[in-house]
Amino acid sequence: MKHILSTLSTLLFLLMLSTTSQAQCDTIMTLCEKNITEQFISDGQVYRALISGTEVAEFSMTLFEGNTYRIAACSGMEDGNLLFSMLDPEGQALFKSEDFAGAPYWDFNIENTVQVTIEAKLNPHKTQSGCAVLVVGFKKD
Amino acid sequence: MLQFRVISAIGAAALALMISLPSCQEPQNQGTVPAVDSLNSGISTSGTMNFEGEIISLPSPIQVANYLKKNNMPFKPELVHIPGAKDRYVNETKKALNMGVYGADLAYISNFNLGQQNADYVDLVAKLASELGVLDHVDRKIITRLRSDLTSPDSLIRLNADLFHSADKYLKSNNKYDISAYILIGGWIESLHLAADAAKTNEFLRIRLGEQKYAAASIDHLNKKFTDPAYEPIRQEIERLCALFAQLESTYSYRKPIVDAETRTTYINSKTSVTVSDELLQSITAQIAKVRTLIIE
Repeated sequence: MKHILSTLSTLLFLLMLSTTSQAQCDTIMTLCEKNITEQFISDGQVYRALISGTEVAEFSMTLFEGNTYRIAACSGMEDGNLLFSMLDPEGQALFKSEDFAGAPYWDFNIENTVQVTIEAKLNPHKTQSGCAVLVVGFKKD
Repeated sequence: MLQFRVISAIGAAALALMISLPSCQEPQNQGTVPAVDSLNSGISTSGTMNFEGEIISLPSPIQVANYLKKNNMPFKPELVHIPGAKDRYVNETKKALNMGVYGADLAYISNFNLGQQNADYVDLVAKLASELGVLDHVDRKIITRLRSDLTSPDSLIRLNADLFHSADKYLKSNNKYDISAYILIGGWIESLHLAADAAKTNEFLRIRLGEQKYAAASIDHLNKKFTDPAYEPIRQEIERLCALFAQLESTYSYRKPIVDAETRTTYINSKTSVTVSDELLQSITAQIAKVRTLIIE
């Protein structure tokens, strides 16, 4: 019976942890969306992951010519907790937010269509784990 | 016996809890693959994690609609999916795919001030979102404004994007990655269908269509994960479509970006070029039509 109670307690703890983390992710998402201001239109998608330590989250995207994109990166309640980079198909960095004091968002003016990889990692000076959120918008003509 | 049942119930509850844990909380340590959901097995070969496993970034159908507008492509009513077809879709997969299709159509028609037709497509998207259990979780203001700002193209386009963003947020927060992906795929196929028609006569749009080869590579990877029998015929045809896109030749040339730190802007000057032969364009266009027919039938 003790074993059953112990298992139930663990389950309850996990359930509470799940709910709390979920709420935290949703809050971060809502804060991050504020960076996609009136001049920008959301790409309609949500990018999020739980990362810790030196883990890197990544996704690839096509940036189409003649557009200006805004990418915002958030984790926790403070700016600069999540650092992000943009890499070209050869793995060369086109942008690193850590070169700009961990700027929470940046705009990218695209001269020619290019396929890129977006990588995000936690700022080790600010946080050790958390929900990483990226939002993307493009400028309306 | 009772104890066995209790333990079984706890085991089942534990399994259910593990399955229901949102991926945002899943420990995604390097070298481990969560077993609960193949769509969440997000460790890439480079040792890093992809966002939400195979949930990838697809070009927004609004961007294709913008390109059509910029190139003065006339409105072709025969290109959009008929509103009356909505009731054909009885399972979640078809509802989600067609929510994406109608959303892309709404982005397309938004540029032409079509009055009642705008309202019809807003209703179609809202009804499918409701049937998928998403609408109740979308910001009410978006729906109210969508129904009242029907004559303003800018507003309609923005609200359409906000609606899909809000839906995606809810679906991913609640582990409904498959529904989220089906909506994206439906929207992607419909925007390819619109672009392919324009590509027949417009060189700029022909190249933009060819550039979808990069998104196709991601879709191809994601496509293999779906197991819904209702999706199987579509899956097979999308695989063929992606194989055709893969045949397009592309090159990349690096040029140093220019940074304007004051305005927080980087000017990306590198270039990816895709060559689209007449023969491949024809095959791709025919295959897009085949996939679309399976989705909307």
